[in-house]
Amino acid sequence: MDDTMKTLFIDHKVHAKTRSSDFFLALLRQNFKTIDVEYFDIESQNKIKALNGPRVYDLIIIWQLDFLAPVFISLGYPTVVIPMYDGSANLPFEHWMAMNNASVICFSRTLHERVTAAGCRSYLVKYFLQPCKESQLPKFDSLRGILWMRRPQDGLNPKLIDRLLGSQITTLHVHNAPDDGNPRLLKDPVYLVKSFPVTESRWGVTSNDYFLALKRANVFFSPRMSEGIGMSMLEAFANGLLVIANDDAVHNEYVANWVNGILIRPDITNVFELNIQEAKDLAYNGWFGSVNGYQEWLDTRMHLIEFIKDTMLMPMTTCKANPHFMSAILDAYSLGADAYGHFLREHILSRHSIEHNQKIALPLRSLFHKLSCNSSVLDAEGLFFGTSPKSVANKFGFDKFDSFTAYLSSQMAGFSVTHNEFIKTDSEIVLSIFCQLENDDDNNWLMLIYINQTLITQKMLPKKKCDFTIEIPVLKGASSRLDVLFSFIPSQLDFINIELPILKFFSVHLLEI
Amino acid sequence: MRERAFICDPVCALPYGHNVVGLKYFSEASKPFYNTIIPIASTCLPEDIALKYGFERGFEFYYYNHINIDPINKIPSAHSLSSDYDLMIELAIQDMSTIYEKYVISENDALFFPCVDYYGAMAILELLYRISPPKTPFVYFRFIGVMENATSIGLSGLPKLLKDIKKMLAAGYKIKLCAETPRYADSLASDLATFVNVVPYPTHTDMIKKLTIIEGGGEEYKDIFTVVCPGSARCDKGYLDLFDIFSTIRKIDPRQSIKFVVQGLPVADSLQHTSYTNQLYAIPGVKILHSTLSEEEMNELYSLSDLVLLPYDTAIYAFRGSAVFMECISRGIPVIALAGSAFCDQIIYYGAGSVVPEIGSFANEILQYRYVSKPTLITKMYQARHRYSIDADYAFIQWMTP
Repeated sequence: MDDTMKTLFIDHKVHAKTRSSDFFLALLRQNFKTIDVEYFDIESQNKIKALNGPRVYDLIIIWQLDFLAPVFISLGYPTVVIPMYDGSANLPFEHWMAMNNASVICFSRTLHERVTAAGCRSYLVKYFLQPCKESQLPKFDSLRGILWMRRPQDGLNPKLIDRLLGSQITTLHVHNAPDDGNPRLLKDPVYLVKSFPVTESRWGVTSNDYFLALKRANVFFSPRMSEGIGMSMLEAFANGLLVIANDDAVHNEYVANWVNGILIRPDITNVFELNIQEAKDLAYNGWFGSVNGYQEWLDTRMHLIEFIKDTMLMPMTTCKANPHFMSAILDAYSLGADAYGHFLREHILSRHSIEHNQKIALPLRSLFHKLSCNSSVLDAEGLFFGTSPKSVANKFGFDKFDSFTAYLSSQMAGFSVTHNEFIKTDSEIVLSIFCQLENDDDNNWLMLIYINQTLITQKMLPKKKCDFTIEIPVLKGASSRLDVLFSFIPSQLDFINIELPILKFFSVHLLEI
Repeated sequence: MRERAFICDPVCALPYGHNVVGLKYFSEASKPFYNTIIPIASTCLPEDIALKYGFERGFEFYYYNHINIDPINKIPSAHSLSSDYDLMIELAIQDMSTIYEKYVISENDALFFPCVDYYGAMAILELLYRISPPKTPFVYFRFIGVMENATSIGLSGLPKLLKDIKKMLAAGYKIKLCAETPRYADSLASDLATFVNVVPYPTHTDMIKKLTIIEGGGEEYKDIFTVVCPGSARCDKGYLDLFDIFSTIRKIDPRQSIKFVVQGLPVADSLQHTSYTNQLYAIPGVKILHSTLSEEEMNELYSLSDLVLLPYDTAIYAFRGSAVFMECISRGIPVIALAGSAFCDQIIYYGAGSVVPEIGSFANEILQYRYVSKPTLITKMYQARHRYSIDADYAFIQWMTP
């Protein structure tokens, strides 16, 4: 055990309740003397103490909230990140490139592949739960299904099982505990099946009902389209059930189709025949896989801890802390993969470092090269949005271009300009952006304006249709390249349903005061 | 004994794979014939690897459009990134001239290309052509059916190279030729109307350890039988057939008495085969290693192998040998290969494993090896290795003798 190292474990708030990261935390506690835990709520964006107080930690370990990693990396913290496939699979490659100074632990091979291609130091873990004894394996005299109905809205419900297997299933137990919302009414025609009887349980004081049902069943239907670790699937393997799961990670990293389980595609898989002996053989293969897999996991732990500790030896960046960086990156992250990727390209990744990072796969380097944008040169005549030859070409968050205008198309927008040819370095200057609000908007839109990752100012958008100018003071001594970023925050925090203001941008000028 | 041998491999630029090992093996095997051995690799070979093996770095890399070499190892000259054929030839001649002048190479020396590459070979031929034959060193070209074809214009360079060699031989230049497989040697002999030897890898001390351990043993096979697919995983080496082979075995052998170890695809290829590799990874008892392994890791991999699979693409390997096969036979590891590749003739001739007609036959053949008694297999592999090493070592000596 390391007596000196102080480690901070940052996890999603929801795991404080589900305890799904506890096994990992327990492993850390066996090997590191001081582990503090902070839970972060992405919606309320509570402050992370470690970012606001004095520097006390030697190592930061981030579970699932991988978008926080660049913040700690930029502050020079040795950082370990544990992303999950179901949360991070669709993030752009820039996300992983921005973690080149971190260590990454992947419970998914697919993720490990992406992370490695992006040049990260990554450790692949194949986790297994302790299997039951062979004498405790379920009987295969009939096919008895179990479904934890976590995502009925994705079609993973009794109707699907009826369509695929019909009366080959003799009974189905539904654990009616969706991830979102209340338990569903199984008598609702959307879920009602006639080919087999259905029993039901819900979460009670304990999870006993689910586990008792699991013990009675022998065919397990995986409850989600994809998983980060797939604990419920691993439980099924460990208990000798035949696993049937959607063909996506991590299911397809554990289930070799018709070897130790069955992969399906709910939208296209048709009815299939499953005889009892075959189901038994597949289930046995799955169980024995977990027998050896569990032993391998136990053997892996020591190497995993070494991998984590070696993070301390990695070269660290020594950037100066920027108090606004975290909110900027959260804004960008919450606005989707495109805006987030763009933000990272503009603010964290440099083309030079990508091109010279030997570990980044060549195809990704060239991809990055194509995606990276040059800044437009801003001279005394100014620049125009839109399609004109002098357009602010480096754009995101804008759409519907006219000759000299562009409309706002997302809650985050940005562009880059370079200006040093006509401004004296000691002048007081402002960046002046001419805009128009095309509609009346009841929302109180707050506009945060960042230049080169620093929050410079914030303004309220007008409520009534009008032309207006946004003036952004440019700090003395700022570099000649200005990365300008707007983040629009509505007063009502219903990000999904809210409509953007119809905002039209015309031109950018740099003015001496 | 002659003065110096320059063992040249302009393609030896990556720190892993068979170029480094081949350059090492042939450099050491050449020692009895020369006072000094000077192995020369590409300038792109990382410095630490060159230092470790005592390689000079003298050749620009001419094959950027064939092999992904990270320019970080050495920022290449603008010329070498060009795909222009004439520029490449010019660059190779320039490199070869520099080496020639630096070492003041004479008729007492030898230039040996253990795996001929097109531009390297064309450059030395061009350079020698400017000198009268008696003043030139001996040149040894060993053809393996890979980079002698590689030109930047997309056409196979072999016909042009053979034409020039033929011209030089007729003019009295001292050029000796060999190929890695009998089939390729016969084909080249027919094209050139001259003798072409067959020279596989000479046996090396690294390789014979495994057999020594087996000889000292004698017990039945251990509980776990490890089947390995070594070498850089590539689709042309049957990577995409492995799921069928492994899954068939796993259904028959659910308690995993047979395990599989395979190298994964390089990252660039891997991203296009994620689902397939996931399925391979999902089969219980399958371990996927990194796509690139150091020489030490490769040796370790061979040391745990009970059987090696070579389901290579028969069209691509129609004339080629297999470095993995040569490593295996030298170490006493049986192999199973897909019929059609040139090295299958050697597997059959030496009794070094089995050749099966189709991918579907691999599983059954693996089971045969799993249950054959260890002493029987040891005796068989000892005999295979014995015959192979005599042939390989003698072939090399015979070829090296002027």
